[in-house]
Amino acid sequence: MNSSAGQVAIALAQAIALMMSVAFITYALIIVVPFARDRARRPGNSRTLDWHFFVPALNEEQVIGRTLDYLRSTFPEAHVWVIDDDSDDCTGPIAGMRARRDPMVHLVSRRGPNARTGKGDALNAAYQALSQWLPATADRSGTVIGVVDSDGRPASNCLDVCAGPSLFGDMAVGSVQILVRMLNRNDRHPFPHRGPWLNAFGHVLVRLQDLEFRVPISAIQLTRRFTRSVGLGGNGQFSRLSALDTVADENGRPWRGALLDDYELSLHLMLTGHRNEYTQDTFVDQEGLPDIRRLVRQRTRWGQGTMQCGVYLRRLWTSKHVSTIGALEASYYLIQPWLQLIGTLVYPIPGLVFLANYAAGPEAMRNWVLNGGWMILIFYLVAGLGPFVLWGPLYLRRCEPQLGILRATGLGFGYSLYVLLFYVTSWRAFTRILRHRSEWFKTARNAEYVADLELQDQLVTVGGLQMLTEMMGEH
Amino acid sequence: MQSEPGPAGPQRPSGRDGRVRPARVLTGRLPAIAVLALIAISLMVFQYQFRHLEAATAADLYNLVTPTLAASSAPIIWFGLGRSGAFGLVITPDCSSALLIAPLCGLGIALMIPRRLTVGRVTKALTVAAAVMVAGNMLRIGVIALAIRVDGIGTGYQVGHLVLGSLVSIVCIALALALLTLILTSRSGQVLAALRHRHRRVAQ
Repeated sequence: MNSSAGQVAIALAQAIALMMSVAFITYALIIVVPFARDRARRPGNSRTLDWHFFVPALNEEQVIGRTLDYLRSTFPEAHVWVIDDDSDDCTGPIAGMRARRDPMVHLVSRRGPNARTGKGDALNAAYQALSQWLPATADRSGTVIGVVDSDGRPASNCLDVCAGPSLFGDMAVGSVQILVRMLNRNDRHPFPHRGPWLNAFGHVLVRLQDLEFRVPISAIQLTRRFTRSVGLGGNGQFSRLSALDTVADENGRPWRGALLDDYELSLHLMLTGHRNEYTQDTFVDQEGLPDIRRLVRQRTRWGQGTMQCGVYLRRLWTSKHVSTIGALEASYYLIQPWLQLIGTLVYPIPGLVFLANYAAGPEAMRNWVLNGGWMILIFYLVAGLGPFVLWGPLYLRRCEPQLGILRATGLGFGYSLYVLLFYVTSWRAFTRILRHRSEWFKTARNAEYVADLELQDQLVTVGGLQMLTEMMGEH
Repeated sequence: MQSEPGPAGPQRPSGRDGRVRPARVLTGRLPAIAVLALIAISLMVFQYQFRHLEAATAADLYNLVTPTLAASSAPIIWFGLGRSGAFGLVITPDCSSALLIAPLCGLGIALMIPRRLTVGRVTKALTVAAAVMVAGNMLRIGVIALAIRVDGIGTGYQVGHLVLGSLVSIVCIALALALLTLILTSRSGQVLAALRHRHRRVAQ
């Protein structure tokens, strides 16, 4: 009756899969609580602080003008620093013209070969420019830097909310991340010149990103308020200048080299004893990606960045500024891409065992399924999909009440498929690490992407496939 | 669930990371890490003996309510001996808690390496989590047996084993992991103090 080594290995793999799944289900259920109980907190007066927006821009001529208009008209008290990262288009001249007309607009020009080395480097350049621009007597603890994408639209109450007594009104708070929403979540035609199926798919994909940021990510961040391990994202992050001073390295760079430089910054802030906070009382709108290709690219970068940040695990666990629960939470986040790699290997095992048994004795397995085996399939589906589907109704209740229960539940099911993408991106990220590839690539804006698609369409019409291939190679 | 306070103001904290302990050789912890590794390996190598032990324990436990007997040379528990409809349950490697405790030991090793947590605390957390997993597996065996008694060896077994048993496993593993986290992260007496404070507030 002794089991073979193979049997034990399969059983061990299934045990690991079970433990990982249960840990995730437990985590998902726990984070629902602070999300459901979160109430709006008292805002403050933004005039008690000095505000500077950093807007990194690489080939953003299509959006940078409107973003500057928006930021200056909505937040007249805030300075705006556009970092032109050696753009090929008119981003620099547009921002330069605004800077000459408006003393609250500043242009930081980066030029090759030191440009286009990553968003973190661009932000570091703005940090250094701001430090030079500020008088030596400036109150750096009363100066707050906000990072906004070139297409970002922070809500008009953003600065007052961030100045609230529990956020920058509290001197222990070093940074605040605000809720991120998808600006184009209601756009049903993200590809104006393509068919209805592609448009429907693109619309749902953007909706799923909106759901992801506003419900599960928001729930995780609200839980992190208790564990003191809130992470910063690329858009809608605010940091106290004095906090950035404490994390700047010997070269004066608060943002370091990881591909997930924003989360890396939040780790540095935690490690130097600052508190990172999160609020969903205000938001920033950004573009969601309606196509899989760019989404995969973006998430591969995030996955690789998370893997790179694994080097901070030791420091998290030895820092007196990070609580054990904070270190545990941050560690769980940092090992996620690795768990996804393991998951890809162990989760399919029950299915493979089933198939192997079926091949060995189809009749016996058919009887097994008909005599109750189907129940385990249903059980796995409920346990496997439940933690993802539940976000759909919560999205309806807390964010988009006009959606209706059917669409919201459908989005919940869609979300359970959407997360499968991360298994792909984790493997891509891992492959890039193995190949020592860590170059930074910017995600193209929707307008550029749609223009590319239209160009492809025209080329196909005019010159056939060969010409298209040649042109795409050049493009 | 509280972290240590951050700096009251914007001053530069002394020491970039404010590290608790310098990174030193793990000499003091090596025996504990070695023991955990040994337990994990033993659970895999001697999983058959562990399953046999689980069967014997379950038999002793359920013998209090129904005639139950563990097979002397295999991980099998016999229920309802001496009555009509007696049946036996085989504890397979998939159904044993041995292979759930082995990864837990791996987690324990990972938690001991950074030197933040004392060996005692990690041991206590692992012991409690492992105990909950073993108890959960005992409960699962009982639930399967009960389902067979109620609904027969066909449907009863399938419902008990595949649905109710899986549910019991998930709940118990979740409980084990939650307790593990709570023990690792709580300050001594913190949970009790919070409960007392809440009780006083309710009383007022």
